[in-house]
Amino acid sequence: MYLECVCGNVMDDIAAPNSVEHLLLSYAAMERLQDLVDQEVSTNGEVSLWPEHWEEAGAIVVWKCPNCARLHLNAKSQKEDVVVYRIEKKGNE
Amino acid sequence: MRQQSLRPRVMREVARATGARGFSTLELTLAMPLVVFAMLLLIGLGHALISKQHAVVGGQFAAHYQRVRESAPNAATIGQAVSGGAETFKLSGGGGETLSFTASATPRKGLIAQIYRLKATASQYQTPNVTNACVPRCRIPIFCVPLCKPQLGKILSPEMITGVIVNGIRGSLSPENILSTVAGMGNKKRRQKPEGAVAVVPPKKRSGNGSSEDGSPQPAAGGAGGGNQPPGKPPARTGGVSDDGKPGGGNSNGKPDDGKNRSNPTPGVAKRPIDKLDDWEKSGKIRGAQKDLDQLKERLNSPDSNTRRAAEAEVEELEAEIAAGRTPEVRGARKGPDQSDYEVKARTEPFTSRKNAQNFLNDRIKVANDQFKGQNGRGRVVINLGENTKIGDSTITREMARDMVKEALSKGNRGTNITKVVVKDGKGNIIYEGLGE
Repeated sequence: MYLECVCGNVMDDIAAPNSVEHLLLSYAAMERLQDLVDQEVSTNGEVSLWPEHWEEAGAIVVWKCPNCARLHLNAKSQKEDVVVYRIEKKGNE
Repeated sequence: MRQQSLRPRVMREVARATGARGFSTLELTLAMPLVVFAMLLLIGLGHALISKQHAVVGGQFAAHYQRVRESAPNAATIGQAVSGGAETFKLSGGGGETLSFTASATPRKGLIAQIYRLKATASQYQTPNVTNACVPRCRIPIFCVPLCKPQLGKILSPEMITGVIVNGIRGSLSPENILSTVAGMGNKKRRQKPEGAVAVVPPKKRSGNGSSEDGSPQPAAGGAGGGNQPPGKPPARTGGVSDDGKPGGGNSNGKPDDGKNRSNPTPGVAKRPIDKLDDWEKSGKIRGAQKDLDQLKERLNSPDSNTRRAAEAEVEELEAEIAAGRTPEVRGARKGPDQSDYEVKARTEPFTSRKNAQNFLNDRIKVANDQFKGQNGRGRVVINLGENTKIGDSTITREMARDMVKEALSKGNRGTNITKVVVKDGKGNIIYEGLGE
Protein backbone atom coordinates (compact mmCIF):
# COMPACT_ATOMS: atom_id res chain seq x y z
CA MET A 1 0.00 0.00 0.00
CA TYR A 2 1.13 3.53 -0.67
CA LEU A 3 0.53 6.86 0.97
CA GLU A 4 1.51 10.16 -0.56
CA CYS A 5 2.71 12.76 1.89
CA VAL A 6 1.91 16.47 1.55
CA CYS A 7 5.57 17.00 0.67
CA GLY A 8 5.19 14.74 -2.36
CA ASN A 9 7.08 11.78 -0.98
CA VAL A 10 5.40 8.44 -1.57
CA MET A 11 5.59 6.04 1.36
CA ASP A 12 4.83 2.35 1.23
CA ASP A 13 4.78 -0.70 3.44
CA ILE A 14 6.33 -3.07 0.92
CA ALA A 15 9.76 -3.44 2.47
CA ALA A 16 9.93 -4.44 6.11
CA PRO A 17 11.35 -3.88 8.67
CA ASN A 18 11.27 -0.19 7.76
CA SER A 19 11.43 3.19 9.43
CA VAL A 20 8.10 4.43 8.05
CA GLU A 21 5.59 2.30 9.95
CA HIS A 22 5.19 3.06 13.64
CA LEU A 23 2.67 2.13 16.30
CA LEU A 24 1.38 4.66 18.81
CA LEU A 25 0.26 3.36 22.19
CA SER A 26 -1.46 5.23 24.96
CA TYR A 27 -0.78 4.09 28.50
CA ALA A 28 -4.20 2.44 28.59
CA ALA A 29 -3.44 0.61 25.34
CA MET A 30 -0.10 -0.50 26.70
CA GLU A 31 -1.77 -2.07 29.75
CA ARG A 32 -4.27 -3.83 27.52
CA LEU A 33 -1.38 -5.15 25.45
CA GLN A 34 0.41 -6.44 28.55
CA ASP A 35 -2.73 -8.24 29.67
CA LEU A 36 -3.27 -9.81 26.24
CA VAL A 37 0.31 -11.02 26.02
CA ASP A 38 0.33 -12.37 29.56
CA GLN A 39 -2.93 -14.17 28.91
CA GLU A 40 -1.63 -15.84 25.74
CA VAL A 41 1.65 -16.83 27.36
CA SER A 42 -0.18 -18.41 30.28
CA THR A 43 -2.39 -20.36 27.84
CA ASN A 44 0.00 -21.29 24.99
CA GLY A 45 3.41 -20.65 26.46
CA GLU A 46 4.30 -18.17 23.71
CA VAL A 47 2.94 -15.19 21.83
CA SER A 48 1.89 -15.86 18.26
CA LEU A 49 -0.78 -13.24 17.75
CA TRP A 50 1.44 -10.23 17.37
CA PRO A 51 -0.38 -8.23 14.74
CA GLU A 52 -3.70 -9.02 16.40
CA HIS A 53 -2.56 -7.99 19.87
CA TRP A 54 -1.54 -4.55 18.65
CA GLU A 55 -4.93 -4.06 17.06
CA GLU A 56 -6.87 -5.37 20.01
CA ALA A 57 -4.91 -3.19 22.42
CA GLY A 58 -5.80 -0.14 20.38
CA ALA A 59 -2.44 0.80 18.91
CA ILE A 60 -2.66 3.53 16.28
CA VAL A 61 -0.83 2.97 13.02
CA VAL A 62 1.43 5.94 12.30
CA TRP A 63 3.50 6.44 9.17
CA LYS A 64 6.36 8.89 9.40
CA CYS A 65 7.46 10.52 6.20
CA PRO A 66 11.22 10.05 5.86
CA ASN A 67 11.38 13.23 3.81
CA CYS A 68 9.67 15.79 6.03
CA ALA A 69 8.96 13.84 9.25
CA ARG A 70 5.21 14.47 9.06
CA LEU A 71 3.22 11.89 11.01
CA HIS A 72 0.23 10.25 9.38
CA LEU A 73 -2.07 8.78 12.00
CA ASN A 74 -4.45 5.99 10.98
CA ALA A 75 -2.35 5.58 7.85
CA LYS A 76 -4.09 2.38 6.82
CA SER A 77 -7.62 3.64 7.35
CA GLN A 78 -9.82 5.37 4.83
CA LYS A 79 -8.39 8.60 3.40
CA GLU A 80 -10.77 10.78 5.39
CA ASP A 81 -9.59 9.20 8.66
CA VAL A 82 -5.90 9.92 8.13
CA VAL A 83 -4.68 12.74 10.38
CA VAL A 84 -1.44 14.49 9.45
CA TYR A 85 0.87 16.22 11.96
CA ARG A 86 3.94 18.15 11.08
CA ILE A 87 6.77 19.50 13.22
CA GLU A 88 5.75 22.80 14.77
CA LYS A 89 8.86 23.56 16.73
CA LYS A 90 11.85 21.84 18.24
CA GLY A 91 12.97 22.27 21.81
CA ASN A 92 10.89 23.26 24.81
CA GLU A 93 12.00 26.79 25.70
CA MET B 1 110.94 -3.24 -13.06
CA ARG B 2 108.34 -1.41 -10.97
CA GLN B 3 104.80 -1.88 -12.06
CA GLN B 4 103.07 1.35 -13.03
CA SER B 5 99.70 2.02 -11.46
CA LEU B 6 96.98 2.93 -13.86
CA ARG B 7 95.43 5.41 -11.38
CA PRO B 8 96.52 8.99 -11.78
CA ARG B 9 99.15 10.13 -9.41
CA VAL B 10 96.91 12.83 -7.85
CA MET B 11 94.24 10.28 -7.02
CA ARG B 12 96.71 7.98 -5.40
CA GLU B 13 97.94 10.84 -3.28
CA VAL B 14 94.45 11.85 -2.24
CA ALA B 15 93.59 8.27 -1.34
CA ARG B 16 96.71 7.93 0.73
CA ALA B 17 96.23 11.29 2.39
CA THR B 18 92.72 10.64 3.56
CA GLY B 19 93.05 6.93 4.16
CA ALA B 20 89.72 6.72 2.46
CA ARG B 21 89.88 3.39 0.72
CA GLY B 22 86.32 2.06 0.95
CA PHE B 23 85.02 5.40 2.05
CA SER B 24 82.41 5.45 -0.70
CA THR B 25 81.19 1.98 0.32
CA LEU B 26 80.79 3.10 3.92
CA GLU B 27 79.04 6.24 2.85
CA LEU B 28 76.67 4.30 0.63
CA THR B 29 75.95 1.83 3.42
CA LEU B 30 75.19 4.62 5.84
CA ALA B 31 73.04 6.36 3.28
CA MET B 32 71.17 3.18 2.35
CA PRO B 33 68.18 3.82 4.65
CA LEU B 34 67.87 7.28 3.16
CA VAL B 35 68.03 5.87 -0.36
CA VAL B 36 65.44 3.23 0.46
CA PHE B 37 63.22 5.82 2.09
CA ALA B 38 63.52 8.07 -0.95
CA MET B 39 62.68 5.21 -3.28
CA LEU B 40 59.66 4.22 -1.22
CA LEU B 41 58.54 7.82 -1.08
CA LEU B 42 58.82 8.14 -4.84
CA ILE B 43 56.96 4.88 -5.38
CA GLY B 44 54.28 6.02 -2.95
CA LEU B 45 53.95 9.38 -4.65
CA GLY B 46 53.77 7.64 -7.99
CA HIS B 47 50.94 5.42 -6.79
CA ALA B 48 49.13 8.38 -5.28
CA LEU B 49 49.40 10.17 -8.61
CA ILE B 50 48.11 7.11 -10.43
CA SER B 51 45.11 6.90 -8.11
CA LYS B 52 44.52 10.61 -8.51
CA GLN B 53 44.60 10.32 -12.27
CA HIS B 54 42.26 7.35 -12.15
CA ALA B 55 39.84 9.42 -10.09
CA VAL B 56 40.04 12.24 -12.66
CA VAL B 57 39.32 9.81 -15.47
CA GLY B 58 36.53 8.25 -13.40
CA GLY B 59 34.88 11.63 -12.88
CA GLN B 60 35.29 12.46 -16.55
CA PHE B 61 33.86 9.11 -17.56
CA ALA B 62 30.86 9.56 -15.25
CA ALA B 63 30.13 13.08 -16.48
CA HIS B 64 30.21 12.09 -20.15
CA TYR B 65 28.30 8.89 -19.50
CA GLN B 66 25.58 10.92 -17.79
CA ARG B 67 25.60 13.48 -20.61
CA VAL B 68 25.25 10.91 -23.35
CA ARG B 69 23.12 8.24 -21.70
CA GLU B 70 21.22 10.54 -19.36
CA SER B 71 21.89 8.30 -16.40
CA ALA B 72 24.94 8.03 -14.25
CA PRO B 73 27.09 4.91 -14.34
CA ASN B 74 27.61 2.97 -11.17
CA ALA B 75 30.87 3.14 -9.29
CA ALA B 76 31.73 -0.51 -9.95
CA THR B 77 31.59 0.02 -13.71
CA ILE B 78 33.92 2.97 -13.39
CA GLY B 79 36.28 0.93 -11.24
CA GLN B 80 36.38 -1.81 -13.86
CA ALA B 81 36.80 0.59 -16.75
CA VAL B 82 39.44 2.80 -15.19
CA SER B 83 41.64 0.49 -13.18
CA GLY B 84 40.37 -3.02 -13.79
CA GLY B 85 39.05 -3.25 -10.25
CA ALA B 86 42.36 -2.36 -8.60
CA GLU B 87 40.71 0.51 -6.80
CA THR B 88 37.43 0.92 -5.02
CA PHE B 89 35.53 3.79 -6.53
CA LYS B 90 32.92 6.01 -5.00
CA LEU B 91 30.92 8.35 -7.14
CA SER B 92 28.74 11.28 -6.29
CA GLY B 93 27.32 14.10 -8.25
CA GLY B 94 24.93 14.84 -11.05
CA GLY B 95 23.34 18.09 -11.99
CA GLY B 96 21.19 19.88 -14.49
CA GLU B 97 22.85 22.41 -16.74
CA THR B 98 26.29 21.58 -15.44
CA LEU B 99 27.22 18.03 -14.70
CA SER B 100 29.57 17.69 -11.80
CA PHE B 101 30.92 14.36 -10.63
CA THR B 102 33.32 13.61 -7.83
CA ALA B 103 35.07 10.27 -8.06
CA SER B 104 37.21 8.96 -5.25
CA ALA B 105 39.52 5.99 -5.69
CA THR B 106 40.88 3.90 -2.84
CA PRO B 107 43.65 1.44 -3.77
CA ARG B 108 42.83 -2.05 -2.63
CA LYS B 109 45.48 -4.17 -4.29
CA GLY B 110 49.02 -4.57 -3.02
CA LEU B 111 50.58 -5.26 0.35
CA ILE B 112 50.43 -1.71 1.67
CA ALA B 113 46.83 -1.23 0.67
CA GLN B 114 45.94 -4.41 2.50
CA ILE B 115 47.90 -3.60 5.65
CA TYR B 116 47.14 0.09 5.98
CA ARG B 117 43.91 1.88 5.48
CA LEU B 118 44.77 4.20 2.64
CA LYS B 119 42.82 7.36 2.11
CA ALA B 120 40.87 7.82 -1.07
CA THR B 121 41.99 10.33 -3.66
CA ALA B 122 39.13 12.42 -4.92
CA SER B 123 38.79 14.33 -8.14
CA GLN B 124 35.95 16.36 -9.45
CA TYR B 125 35.03 16.89 -13.07
CA GLN B 126 32.54 19.37 -14.42
CA THR B 127 31.13 19.66 -17.87
CA PRO B 128 28.20 21.50 -19.42
CA ASN B 129 25.25 19.20 -19.98
CA VAL B 130 25.29 19.63 -23.76
CA THR B 131 24.05 16.99 -26.14
CA ASN B 132 24.10 19.06 -29.30
CA ALA B 133 27.05 18.01 -31.38
CA CYS B 134 26.80 20.44 -34.24
CA VAL B 135 30.02 22.35 -33.86
CA PRO B 136 30.07 25.53 -35.88
CA ARG B 137 33.17 25.69 -38.02
CA CYS B 138 33.81 29.10 -39.39
CA ARG B 139 36.39 29.61 -42.05
CA ILE B 140 34.79 32.95 -42.75
CA PRO B 141 33.29 34.39 -39.54
CA ILE B 142 30.04 35.38 -41.31
CA PHE B 143 29.21 31.94 -42.65
CA CYS B 144 29.25 29.61 -39.70
CA VAL B 145 27.86 26.31 -40.87
CA PRO B 146 27.16 23.70 -38.24
CA LEU B 147 29.22 20.65 -39.09
CA CYS B 148 27.24 17.65 -38.00
CA LYS B 149 28.37 15.08 -40.48
CA PRO B 150 30.08 12.27 -38.67
CA GLN B 151 33.59 11.74 -39.81
CA LEU B 152 34.22 8.03 -39.85
CA GLY B 153 37.94 8.50 -39.79
CA LYS B 154 37.70 10.28 -36.48
CA ILE B 155 35.02 8.03 -35.08
CA LEU B 156 36.97 4.84 -35.69
CA SER B 157 40.27 6.23 -34.56
CA PRO B 158 42.88 3.76 -33.30
CA GLU B 159 42.46 5.24 -29.80
CA MET B 160 38.74 4.60 -29.82
CA ILE B 161 39.11 1.04 -31.07
CA THR B 162 41.85 0.35 -28.54
CA GLY B 163 39.68 1.80 -25.77
CA VAL B 164 36.73 -0.36 -26.73
CA ILE B 165 38.84 -3.50 -26.89
CA VAL B 166 40.62 -2.80 -23.60
CA ASN B 167 37.38 -1.97 -21.81
CA GLY B 168 35.73 -4.99 -23.33
CA ILE B 169 38.52 -7.27 -22.16
CA ARG B 170 38.35 -5.81 -18.68
CA GLY B 171 34.73 -6.76 -18.57
CA SER B 172 33.20 -3.33 -18.23
CA LEU B 173 31.44 -3.59 -21.56
CA SER B 174 29.35 -6.43 -22.77
CA PRO B 175 29.68 -7.47 -26.43
CA GLU B 176 26.34 -5.76 -27.07
CA ASN B 177 27.62 -2.56 -25.55
CA ILE B 178 30.80 -2.66 -27.61
CA LEU B 179 28.80 -3.13 -30.77
CA SER B 180 26.35 -0.42 -29.83
CA THR B 181 29.24 1.88 -28.99
CA VAL B 182 30.85 1.38 -32.38
CA ALA B 183 27.62 1.25 -34.37
CA GLY B 184 26.04 4.16 -32.56
CA MET B 185 28.94 6.54 -32.84
CA GLY B 186 28.06 7.59 -36.32
CA ASN B 187 24.48 8.33 -35.36
CA LYS B 188 25.22 10.50 -32.40
CA LYS B 189 25.72 14.05 -33.44
CA ARG B 190 27.40 15.45 -30.42
CA ARG B 191 30.61 16.99 -29.44
CA GLN B 192 32.48 14.57 -27.28
CA LYS B 193 34.33 17.27 -25.45
CA PRO B 194 32.29 20.44 -25.12
CA GLU B 195 33.84 23.72 -24.23
CA GLY B 196 34.12 24.30 -20.55
CA ALA B 197 34.80 20.69 -19.62
CA VAL B 198 37.37 20.96 -16.91
CA ALA B 199 38.85 18.84 -14.18
CA VAL B 200 38.67 20.87 -11.03
CA VAL B 201 40.43 20.64 -7.71
CA PRO B 202 38.41 18.55 -5.26
CA PRO B 203 36.84 20.60 -2.53
CA LYS B 204 38.17 20.51 0.97
CA LYS B 205 35.90 19.86 3.89
CA ARG B 206 33.85 22.91 4.54
CA SER B 207 32.66 24.46 7.71
CA GLY B 208 29.07 25.54 8.06
CA ASN B 209 29.74 29.14 7.12
CA GLY B 210 30.96 28.27 3.68
CA SER B 211 34.65 28.75 4.39
CA SER B 212 37.24 26.14 3.66
CA GLU B 213 39.68 24.78 6.18
CA ASP B 214 42.26 27.32 5.17
CA GLY B 215 39.80 30.09 5.61
CA SER B 216 39.31 30.89 1.96
CA PRO B 217 35.74 31.44 0.86
CA GLN B 218 33.98 28.53 -0.80
CA PRO B 219 30.69 28.23 -2.59
CA ALA B 220 27.76 27.55 -0.32
CA ALA B 221 27.36 23.92 0.54
CA GLY B 222 24.24 22.03 -0.38
CA GLY B 223 21.17 22.16 1.76
CA ALA B 224 20.37 19.94 4.66
CA GLY B 225 20.46 16.34 3.75
CA GLY B 226 22.02 17.09 0.42
CA GLY B 227 25.38 15.73 1.31
CA ASN B 228 25.68 13.80 -1.88
CA GLN B 229 25.09 16.79 -4.05
CA PRO B 230 27.91 18.37 -5.94
CA PRO B 231 29.61 21.17 -4.08
CA GLY B 232 28.09 24.55 -4.52
CA LYS B 233 24.94 23.12 -6.01
CA PRO B 234 22.26 22.96 -3.36
CA PRO B 235 19.68 20.27 -4.03
CA ALA B 236 16.35 21.17 -5.50
CA ARG B 237 14.66 20.26 -2.25
CA THR B 238 15.94 19.97 1.22
CA GLY B 239 16.80 16.58 2.50
CA GLY B 240 14.94 14.44 4.90
CA VAL B 241 14.63 14.35 8.59
CA SER B 242 15.97 11.36 10.38
CA ASP B 243 14.34 9.46 13.20
CA ASP B 244 15.59 11.88 15.75
CA GLY B 245 14.18 14.77 13.85
CA LYS B 246 17.49 16.02 12.55
CA PRO B 247 17.90 16.80 8.91
CA GLY B 248 19.60 14.07 7.02
CA GLY B 249 19.06 11.21 4.71
CA GLY B 250 17.36 13.15 2.01
CA ASN B 251 14.97 12.04 -0.63
CA SER B 252 15.01 12.22 -4.34
CA ASN B 253 11.60 13.71 -4.78
CA GLY B 254 11.57 16.36 -7.41
CA LYS B 255 15.18 15.76 -8.31
CA PRO B 256 16.29 14.54 -11.66
CA ASP B 257 17.19 10.90 -11.82
CA ASP B 258 20.92 11.22 -11.44
CA GLY B 259 21.35 7.52 -10.80
CA LYS B 260 23.62 8.05 -7.84
CA ASN B 261 21.51 5.96 -5.52
CA ARG B 262 20.78 3.19 -7.90
CA SER B 263 21.83 -0.27 -6.94
CA ASN B 264 24.96 -1.67 -8.53
CA PRO B 265 24.45 -4.25 -11.21
CA THR B 266 26.98 -6.85 -12.28
CA PRO B 267 28.95 -5.03 -14.96
CA GLY B 268 27.90 -6.00 -18.44
CA VAL B 269 25.40 -8.60 -17.28
CA ALA B 270 22.27 -7.51 -15.45
CA LYS B 271 20.23 -4.44 -16.22
CA ARG B 272 19.38 -2.12 -13.41
CA PRO B 273 15.72 -2.11 -12.37
CA ILE B 274 15.36 1.49 -13.49
CA ASP B 275 16.76 0.63 -16.92
CA LYS B 276 14.33 -2.27 -17.21
CA LEU B 277 11.52 0.09 -16.32
CA ASP B 278 12.67 2.53 -19.01
CA ASP B 279 12.71 -0.27 -21.57
CA TRP B 280 9.24 -1.52 -20.63
CA GLU B 281 7.89 1.99 -20.71
CA LYS B 282 9.27 2.58 -24.21
CA SER B 283 8.08 -0.75 -25.52
CA GLY B 284 4.63 -0.47 -23.94
CA LYS B 285 5.02 -3.53 -21.76
CA ILE B 286 3.70 -1.70 -18.72
CA ARG B 287 0.75 0.57 -18.22
CA GLY B 288 0.17 3.43 -15.85
CA ALA B 289 0.05 7.17 -15.52
CA GLN B 290 3.28 9.00 -16.21
CA LYS B 291 3.22 10.42 -12.68
CA ASP B 292 3.08 6.92 -11.20
CA LEU B 293 5.93 5.71 -13.40
CA ASP B 294 8.02 8.71 -12.43
CA GLN B 295 7.30 8.08 -8.77
CA LEU B 296 8.43 4.49 -9.10
CA LYS B 297 11.64 5.66 -10.75
CA GLU B 298 12.18 8.15 -7.97
CA ARG B 299 11.74 5.41 -5.40
CA LEU B 300 14.22 3.22 -7.29
CA ASN B 301 16.67 6.08 -7.00
CA SER B 302 15.88 6.88 -3.38
CA PRO B 303 18.77 7.28 -0.92
CA ASP B 304 16.64 5.38 1.61
CA SER B 305 17.56 1.72 1.23
CA ASN B 306 14.14 0.48 2.41
CA THR B 307 12.34 2.61 -0.16
CA ARG B 308 14.73 1.40 -2.84
CA ARG B 309 14.32 -2.23 -1.80
CA ALA B 310 10.53 -1.87 -1.93
CA ALA B 311 10.65 -0.38 -5.40
CA GLU B 312 13.02 -3.10 -6.61
CA ALA B 313 10.71 -5.80 -5.30
CA GLU B 314 7.89 -4.12 -7.16
CA VAL B 315 9.91 -4.09 -10.40
CA GLU B 316 10.82 -7.76 -9.93
CA GLU B 317 7.12 -8.57 -9.74
CA LEU B 318 6.37 -6.45 -12.79
CA GLU B 319 9.06 -8.44 -14.60
CA ALA B 320 7.39 -11.70 -13.61
CA GLU B 321 4.06 -10.39 -14.87
CA ILE B 322 5.57 -9.34 -18.19
CA ALA B 323 7.29 -12.72 -18.50
CA ALA B 324 3.87 -14.32 -18.01
CA GLY B 325 2.57 -12.39 -21.01
CA ARG B 326 0.61 -9.78 -19.11
CA THR B 327 0.80 -5.99 -19.23
CA PRO B 328 0.91 -4.89 -15.60
CA GLU B 329 -0.08 -1.45 -14.45
CA VAL B 330 2.09 0.72 -12.24
CA ARG B 331 -0.45 1.96 -9.74
CA GLY B 332 1.63 4.52 -7.90
CA ALA B 333 0.25 5.99 -4.71
CA ARG B 334 -3.32 4.91 -5.23
CA LYS B 335 -5.16 3.37 -2.34
CA GLY B 336 -5.24 -0.39 -2.06
CA PRO B 337 -2.89 -3.19 -3.01
CA ASP B 338 0.01 -2.83 -5.46
CA GLN B 339 -2.02 -4.59 -8.14
CA SER B 340 -5.63 -5.67 -8.22
CA ASP B 341 -4.63 -9.32 -7.84
CA TYR B 342 -1.41 -9.27 -5.90
CA GLU B 343 0.42 -7.48 -3.14
CA VAL B 344 4.21 -7.47 -2.77
CA LYS B 345 6.04 -7.55 0.54
CA ALA B 346 9.81 -7.57 0.81
CA ARG B 347 12.24 -8.39 3.58
CA THR B 348 15.01 -5.90 4.31
CA GLU B 349 16.94 -7.57 7.12
CA PRO B 350 18.22 -11.07 7.89
CA PHE B 351 15.98 -13.18 10.11
CA THR B 352 17.27 -13.58 13.62
CA SER B 353 15.29 -16.74 14.43
CA ARG B 354 12.48 -18.94 13.21
CA LYS B 355 10.09 -17.04 15.47
CA ASN B 356 11.30 -13.78 13.95
CA ALA B 357 10.59 -15.12 10.47
CA GLN B 358 7.18 -16.39 11.58
CA ASN B 359 6.25 -13.02 13.08
CA PHE B 360 7.29 -11.31 9.84
CA LEU B 361 5.12 -13.61 7.76
CA ASN B 362 2.18 -13.29 10.16
CA ASP B 363 2.32 -9.53 10.02
CA ARG B 364 2.88 -9.09 6.29
CA ILE B 365 0.24 -11.61 5.31
CA LYS B 366 -2.26 -9.92 7.60
CA VAL B 367 -1.39 -6.48 6.20
CA ALA B 368 -1.84 -7.74 2.64
CA ASN B 369 -5.09 -9.41 3.58
CA ASP B 370 -6.40 -6.16 5.10
CA GLN B 371 -5.52 -4.33 1.91
CA PHE B 372 -7.48 -6.79 -0.22
CA LYS B 373 -10.37 -6.63 2.25
CA GLY B 374 -10.39 -2.84 2.04
CA GLN B 375 -10.94 -3.11 -1.71
CA ASN B 376 -13.35 -6.03 -1.47
CA GLY B 377 -10.87 -7.98 -3.51
CA ARG B 378 -8.83 -11.15 -3.34
CA GLY B 379 -5.37 -11.96 -4.51
CA ARG B 380 -2.00 -13.44 -3.83
CA VAL B 381 0.67 -12.02 -1.60
CA VAL B 382 4.24 -12.23 -2.84
CA ILE B 383 6.85 -12.35 -0.10
CA ASN B 384 10.17 -11.37 -1.66
CA LEU B 385 12.90 -12.38 0.76
CA GLY B 386 15.64 -10.85 -1.34
CA GLU B 387 18.95 -12.08 -0.02
CA ASN B 388 17.48 -12.95 3.38
CA THR B 389 16.78 -16.57 2.57
CA LYS B 390 18.40 -17.98 5.70
CA ILE B 391 17.46 -18.29 9.32
CA GLY B 392 20.77 -18.34 11.08
CA ASP B 393 22.84 -20.79 9.06
CA SER B 394 20.01 -22.83 7.62
CA THR B 395 18.48 -21.93 4.29
CA ILE B 396 14.71 -21.56 4.19
CA THR B 397 13.51 -24.66 2.38
CA ARG B 398 10.21 -25.26 0.66
CA GLU B 399 9.00 -27.25 3.68
CA MET B 400 10.00 -24.56 6.16
CA ALA B 401 8.27 -21.89 4.10
CA ARG B 402 5.17 -24.04 3.75
CA ASP B 403 4.99 -24.66 7.52
CA MET B 404 5.41 -20.99 8.29
CA VAL B 405 2.73 -20.00 5.78
CA LYS B 406 0.43 -22.62 7.26
CA GLU B 407 1.07 -21.31 10.76
CA ALA B 408 0.52 -17.71 9.64
CA LEU B 409 -2.80 -18.51 7.99
CA SER B 410 -4.06 -20.68 10.84
CA LYS B 411 -4.67 -17.78 13.23
CA GLY B 412 -6.35 -14.41 13.37
CA ASN B 413 -8.27 -14.76 10.09
CA ARG B 414 -5.18 -13.48 8.32
CA GLY B 415 -5.84 -15.17 5.02
CA THR B 416 -9.54 -14.57 4.34
CA ASN B 417 -8.84 -12.70 1.11
CA ILE B 418 -5.52 -14.33 0.17
CA THR B 419 -5.63 -16.74 -2.76
CA LYS B 420 -2.07 -17.93 -2.25
CA VAL B 421 1.20 -16.94 -0.66
CA VAL B 422 4.27 -16.90 -2.92
CA VAL B 423 7.63 -16.90 -1.15
CA LYS B 424 10.49 -15.91 -3.46
CA ASP B 425 14.18 -15.22 -3.23
CA GLY B 426 15.84 -12.15 -4.67
CA LYS B 427 16.48 -13.82 -8.01
CA GLY B 428 12.81 -14.51 -8.56
CA ASN B 429 13.03 -18.21 -7.72
CA ILE B 430 9.88 -19.43 -6.01
CA ILE B 431 10.69 -21.13 -2.73
CA TYR B 432 7.07 -21.94 -1.97
CA GLU B 433 3.62 -21.05 -3.23
CA GLY B 434 0.33 -22.14 -1.80
CA LEU B 435 -1.74 -21.81 1.34
CA GLY B 436 0.31 -24.08 3.55
CA GLU B 437 -1.39 -27.25 2.41
